Formats: sequence, C-alpha cells, structure tokens
Amino acid sequence: MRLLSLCVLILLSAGCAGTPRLSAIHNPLYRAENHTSTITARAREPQDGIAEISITAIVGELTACTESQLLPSLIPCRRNASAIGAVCVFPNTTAEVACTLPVAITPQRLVTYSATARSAANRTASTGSVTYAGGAPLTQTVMNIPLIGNIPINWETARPVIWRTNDPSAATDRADKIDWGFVPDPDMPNYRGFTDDLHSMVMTLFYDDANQYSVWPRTWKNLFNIWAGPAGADAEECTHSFGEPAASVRGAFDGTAVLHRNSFRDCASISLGGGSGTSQTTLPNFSGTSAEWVLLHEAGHFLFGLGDEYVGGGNSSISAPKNVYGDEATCQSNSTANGISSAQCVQIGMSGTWRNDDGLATTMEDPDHASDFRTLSGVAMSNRISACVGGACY
Amino acid sequence: MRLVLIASVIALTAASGHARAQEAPLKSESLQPTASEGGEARFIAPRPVDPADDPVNAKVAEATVDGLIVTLTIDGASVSLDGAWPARIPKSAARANLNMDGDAVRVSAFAGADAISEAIVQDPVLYALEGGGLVRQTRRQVVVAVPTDRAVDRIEVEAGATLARTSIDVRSAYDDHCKADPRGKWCPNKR
Repeated sequence: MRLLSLCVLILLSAGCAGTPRLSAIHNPLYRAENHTSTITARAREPQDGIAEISITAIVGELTACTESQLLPSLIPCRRNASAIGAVCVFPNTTAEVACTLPVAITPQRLVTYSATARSAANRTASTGSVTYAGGAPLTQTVMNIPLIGNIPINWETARPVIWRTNDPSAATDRADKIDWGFVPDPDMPNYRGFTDDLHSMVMTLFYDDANQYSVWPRTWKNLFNIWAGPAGADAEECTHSFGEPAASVRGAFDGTAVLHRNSFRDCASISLGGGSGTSQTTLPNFSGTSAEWVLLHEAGHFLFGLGDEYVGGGNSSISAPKNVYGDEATCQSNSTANGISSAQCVQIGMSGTWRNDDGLATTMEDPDHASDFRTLSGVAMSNRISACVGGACY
Repeated sequence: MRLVLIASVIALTAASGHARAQEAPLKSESLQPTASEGGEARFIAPRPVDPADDPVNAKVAEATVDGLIVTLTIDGASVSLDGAWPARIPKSAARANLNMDGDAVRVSAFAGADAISEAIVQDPVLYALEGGGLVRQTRRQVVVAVPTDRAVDRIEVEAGATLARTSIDVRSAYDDHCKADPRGKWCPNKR
C-alpha cells in the first residue's frame, strides 16, 4: 500500500531529475459573468533551465449535450470550439518562469487547457487537461427530437471549476475522481460573492496554503474534480434542503458543500457519497485554524465518512477503517489490523466511543493548522486514495 | 490580420501572469500573453475544433448514460417526490450496489410490471453537528441517479433507516417528451 502511494505521489509530482516541474492553474477559478480568465503555467528546471512553455486551450460554448444526445446531460458538452494557445520562449532560465494565456470569458464558455514545459536539455513535462466554465450559465436547452423538431426546456448543468478531463479511460467503470460540489446558501449576498468565496477556499486548501493540515489536499488535488452548482440550497446547522435548480444538479456530485457567510454551527452528514455539509466562508483565522481547515474537517464527514474525535462531537464513523468505535476492544483490534499501536486506543471523554490517539493534532479532533489525518483516520484516507487510483473512489 | 483574428477569440491582460481578472466589457485588443523572467510570449494561431474531436465531448459520452434523476424527501416512514428529470447521468452516480457501511436508500425503476433498473445511494440520516454531537435527521433529502434506457412509470423507494417504503408514479417527468413525441421511447404512456 505504501509503495503504491509513493509511486502515485512521484507520478503526480513529476519529480524526476532534469525533468521540468510544471503546474498550471486558471484565475479566477469560476465566475458566472463576463471576465478575463488568465491561465498561468509555471515551470522550473534548476540544472539546464527552461527553454519553452506552451499552453493550449480549447474554448467553446457550454451545452447540455443535446446536439449529440436526446436527453440533456448533468455534466456539460461543448460546441463551436476553437483551439488557441500561447508559446513562451525563455533563455534557458533556471529560476521559476511563468507563461500566461488570457481568455475572454463570455456567456456559457467552457475552456479546456493543458501546458507543456521543455528544458534546455529537451526534457519535457506536461500537465493533465483541466476544464472549467465561465460566464452566464446555461439555464435552458433544446431537445432535438428526430422528425419532430426542437423542444426548449429549462435545464442547468453542473458548472466545472476544476474538472480533470484527461482522455477517457475505458479501464474504469466507475469514477476515479471525487466530484466535490459547492453551492451557495441564501445568506450569500449574491452569486458573485459565492464564487469569490469558493475561489478563495479552494485555492487555499488545494494550492496556496503551507500548513500541515493542507498537505493531504495539496498532495492529492489531482484526484478531485471541483464543481459549482446553482442556487436552490438552504442550510442551517443539520437541516439541509435542496430546491431547484440545485437539487437535480447535485446528482453529479459525490458530496456537496453549502457555503454560507452567516454564523451557525456547521454540520455534515457522515457519508461516503451523496452527502452534504455546511462551511462558513467568513470564519476569521482563530486559534491556529481557519475557514479552510473547517471545510476540510467537514469534508472528512460528508466525503470520507469520518467521525469527530473530540469530546462532544459526532463520534460515529462509516469510513474504512472507522476512526471511531463503540468499544475499546474493537478499536484495539482494528488498530492492530492496520499496523497502529492498540495501546493508543482511548475513550473520547465519557462518550463510550473510542479512537486511536497518538498524541499529535489530528484533523477530526483538533482545530489546528498543524493537524493532519492521523492513525485510523489517516489509514481511512489512504484507503480512499487507493480506491480512487484503482478507478472506484466510491 | 492574424492578430485581429486572434484578438477576437483571445482576451489578454496587459499585466503579469498574476494579473487580477478584469470586469466586462472586455477590450480584447489590449490583451496579450505574457512571459516572465525575460521570456518572449506569442499566440498560437487559433483553429476550429470539430465537436467529434472535442475531448470534453468524448469524456461526457464515456462517462454518462441515459437515466432519470430523482430527488426525494424522506420524512420518517413517508417518502415524497420533489422532482424527476430524464437526463444523461454520470455513470459514477448510478450505482446499483453500495459496498460500504451506513444506511442506504434503494430505488427500483419499473416500466409497466417490469423492474428495469435499480440504484442505491447513501441515506444521509446521521449528521455530525460541530459542538453538538450526533444528530439523527429523520427528515432528509436524497438525489438518486437511476440508469434507464427507456421511460419509467414508477419507482419503488426503500429507506431502511426509518422504515420508509413506497411506490411513486414518475410518468409526469416525461411530459415534455410526450408532448413532443407521444410515440417515442421516452413517453411512458405510449410505449
């Protein structure tokens, strides 16, 4: 298992000597209005230097796929597309270099991009392709019924924010990505506020943060697709309702985060696929934690089935292995089975539930930027990664 | 000329790669690609992409199947239909088994007397309320993607966590199809 994880890690980080290190991201991640989107590719090869970066993008009109299928799709297709791109040439620069491609985002745009970097020694690295939407969303489509004609219907697709669209893989009959959806709570001032908050949360959690808690999402970000949904959700603590159009679009997600700004206690279903959780975007950084830490903790519940490990939390789990047990003996036997010291099994307060505690800060217990997924929750998260890499996240 | 054509497709920022996104309307002729550290940047000439060659369309074709999206509210032992839509649904969402712990909602689809499909999703009945402990929600909402290659007359819903079991007529989900094509395969009354 460790070997598999190591190999995947090496592949994901493309870290062979002499090969350029390359990353690419678009900014903003998602905005449902006209704007300029900038795709930036960064590369570094400290020995020979970078000679060239190229960015290629396919830009076209987002559709519900009814030009090729009778039924409208929850995830979008594209038509009237053009391939565009930029080439940046460098004087074999050994420092990190950046190349940008700006794209004009007008209503119902769907953009797919990838980047390639070449070193002076002619070694290359490429990113996987990423697709994102922008501009005013699709709200209606036309069903083309043969011999009958075109029938307009109200329809919305999921809105890709970071959709990893490498070549289709016939080897997997189930998804090898975790499709994480985000929708706005009505307490957002407007949809732009929601997309701005979404951008900030996702960029921090998966890309920009430098704390221990975000090592896991930063390491495994390529296993996640990030989606935005339309309005229609309404959450207050554990009462989560999904009206149209959010309700049907949610069918494309493995789990849904309802982003909100007002203060209420966050709550998430303990589930593995199809769950939901709330996350407050306006939490100030406090006591070594932040809104992004809370988002990851809530995802631990509604995407990964983990239970709270703190006293007074939701001390129940359906992860594999569970990170919370109903008695000491089961905690001990599962710890041993997963190569963890059974002597670390402790009761969570006087709750009658048990967890494995190695004494260090863990994300399902400690609101602390120095936390991570440890002991049994760490094994459960590694197992989920292995399942994804094997082609079936759930 | 080429630059004009390119500019009609590509917008560009005058600033660096970290440039903040601008607000519409866009003046595309002011936008350029950029290279840092003394590099030189140029556009690649645009070319049209045939929809059949578009990698996104290939991805969607591979990843989706015909089906029915159903949203349900389960309240204790009762189940009500919030909505149903014929759609191309992700294969990954259309699970017929649930190889994991936790409660489940099972939806079976029927065309006439024939059971034609089944989907199963996790039942979000158990919640973790931060600072509040475990909360059991007997009223909850689920969305189920049921793969079907034809119209569905009714679904049977079973949620064991609250002993809910019912049969729901979903023929109205196909009203648009039936109005347009009463004899088509997506019209349950005229199959």
